[in-house]
Amino acid sequence: MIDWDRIAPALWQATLETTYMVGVSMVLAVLLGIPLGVLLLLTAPDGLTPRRVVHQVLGAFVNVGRSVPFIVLLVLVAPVTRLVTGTTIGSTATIVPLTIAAVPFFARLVEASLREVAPGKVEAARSMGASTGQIVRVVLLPEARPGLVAAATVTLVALISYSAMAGAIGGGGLGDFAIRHGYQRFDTGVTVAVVVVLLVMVQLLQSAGDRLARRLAHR
Amino acid sequence: MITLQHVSKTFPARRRSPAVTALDDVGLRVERGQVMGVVGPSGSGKSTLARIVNLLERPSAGTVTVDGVELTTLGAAELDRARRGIGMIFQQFNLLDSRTVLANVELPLELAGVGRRERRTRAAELLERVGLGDKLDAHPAQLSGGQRQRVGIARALAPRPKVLLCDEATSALDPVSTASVLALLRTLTEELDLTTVLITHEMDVVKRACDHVTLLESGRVVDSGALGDVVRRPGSPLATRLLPPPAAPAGEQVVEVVVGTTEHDTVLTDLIRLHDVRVAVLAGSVETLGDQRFGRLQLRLDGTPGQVRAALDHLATHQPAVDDDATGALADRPTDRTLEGALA
Ligand SMILES: Nc1ncnc2c1ncn2[C@@H]1O[C@H](COP(=O)(O)OP(=O)(O)OP(=O)(O)O)[C@@H](O)[C@H]1O
Ligand SMILES: [Mg+2]
Repeated sequence: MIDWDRIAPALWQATLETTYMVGVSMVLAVLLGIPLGVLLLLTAPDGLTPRRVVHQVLGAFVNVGRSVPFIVLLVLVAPVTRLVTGTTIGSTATIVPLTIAAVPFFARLVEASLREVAPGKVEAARSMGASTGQIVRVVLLPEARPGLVAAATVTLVALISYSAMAGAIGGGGLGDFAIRHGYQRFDTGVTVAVVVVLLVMVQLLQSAGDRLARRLAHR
Repeated sequence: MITLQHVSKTFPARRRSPAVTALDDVGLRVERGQVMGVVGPSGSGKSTLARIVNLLERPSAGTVTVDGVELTTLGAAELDRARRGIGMIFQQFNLLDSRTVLANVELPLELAGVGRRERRTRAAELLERVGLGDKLDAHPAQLSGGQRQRVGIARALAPRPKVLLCDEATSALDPVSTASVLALLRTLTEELDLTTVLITHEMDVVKRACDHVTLLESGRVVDSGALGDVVRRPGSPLATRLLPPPAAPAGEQVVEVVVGTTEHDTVLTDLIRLHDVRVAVLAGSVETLGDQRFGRLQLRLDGTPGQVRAALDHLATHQPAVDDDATGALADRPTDRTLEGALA
């Protein structure tokens, strides 16, 4: 039987840790992923300012980032993690690989959302004498807002699952908790409780994201 | 106001498509205040022509001059500034869904760095003018096609441009909205002394909203001029499309004349008065072109052979109207075929 008095505070603590590392890496993913996605779009052969080499270098970086399985990435970037945070275990350390995984992931989704904006709108702005920077700020990003929110939601959900994976190597948060208190102590009840918490988190985020995207769509 | 000289545009070959010459040595002049309709079959280069005027598309050869400025020589920043003097409206409206109607009309002013209060006032005033004073806070998705195009028009006019480009502005609209949008365009262009290029594939749009017309075929200008001149120009491919000939009564020798309301009296009455022939109108069709009405009449002239010949000579010299300098080549064409037939 689960000893709730002992488990509950620890479970709450783990939930906060997960929220912390997912939240921070999501903020970083937005701050870095949006400019990267914009650059990918602008420098594409059919973009507003085609730059072949820049586009290919950025594209390669993004593809590598997305094709490495997260669990491998965790190990791979450990030296960087230690350099930045001084350690490789705990939730702060996990933010590093999470961010490295999330930036290219989100950037591709940003690029795809911006591509969805009708070319006619960009053309209209050009006919009004808008510079490329103005087109990005005034047309592309605002018009793509519903798509960007959806992209952010998908990224958040992926980050939650990645962060749980980081638990396998002592990354803190809910995954870590499930492994130490559930798996290693053969306490299936704890594992199930963690799954339920994760499920609720994902559900809440997804429906909030959907609602926000719909509200921004103005259709 | 708008001058294109020897403009050609070739789209380079792509992986799966060969190079396309969309415009081939096009010359076009649109004087201040004119409404120039550009017609032609699909793929003839109409949209390319419109996009060349504000250099959304850079010509492969030739020069584009608008309001005395040769756009083809400008750098990026100068070109952006020049484009503010050229409004454009689109078939698909291209409004921003994320903005309210008011904010859409403010957009070009915002891009030009106009202060918030001033652009509010200007945008609201324009929306009032196009009949959408009660929709300022609506989003484009809540409007009908005709209303969206009115927003498009207000947006294009917000920075007080001197030139307005319309690419198939009414092609996505139902007949009622088309009529009201065209009427609005016509009054606004007059009120604001705009020089307008109106791309369309519908002759009806030209008849209702333009005073000049240019026909493109495979990227070349094949006919151009004022409606009143074109419609009277013998052999003009546009003339019969602007004013279709009536079904001719079979077996009769007919003379065809095109008369406008202003000289209605002189052509027919001179014929009768000066040459003493009797004139029977066998068939006729009448069209309103811009603000004038024109008739294409098929006549039979009765009298002595000498009188008829003199009358036909009179028509031959008075009927073909003065040609526009823009299409000098067309002036050399042989005279009206029906007239020749009657003279033979
Ligand atoms: N960006 C482009 N790249 C390659 N070819 C193009 C491009 N834009 C236009 N063309 C080609 O140029 C020609 C003229 O096109 P344009 O759009 O100007 O015709 P249009 O007269 O406007 O036709 P429609 O009445 O169908 O709108 C067409 O053959 C078209 O395929
Ligand atoms: Mg077209």
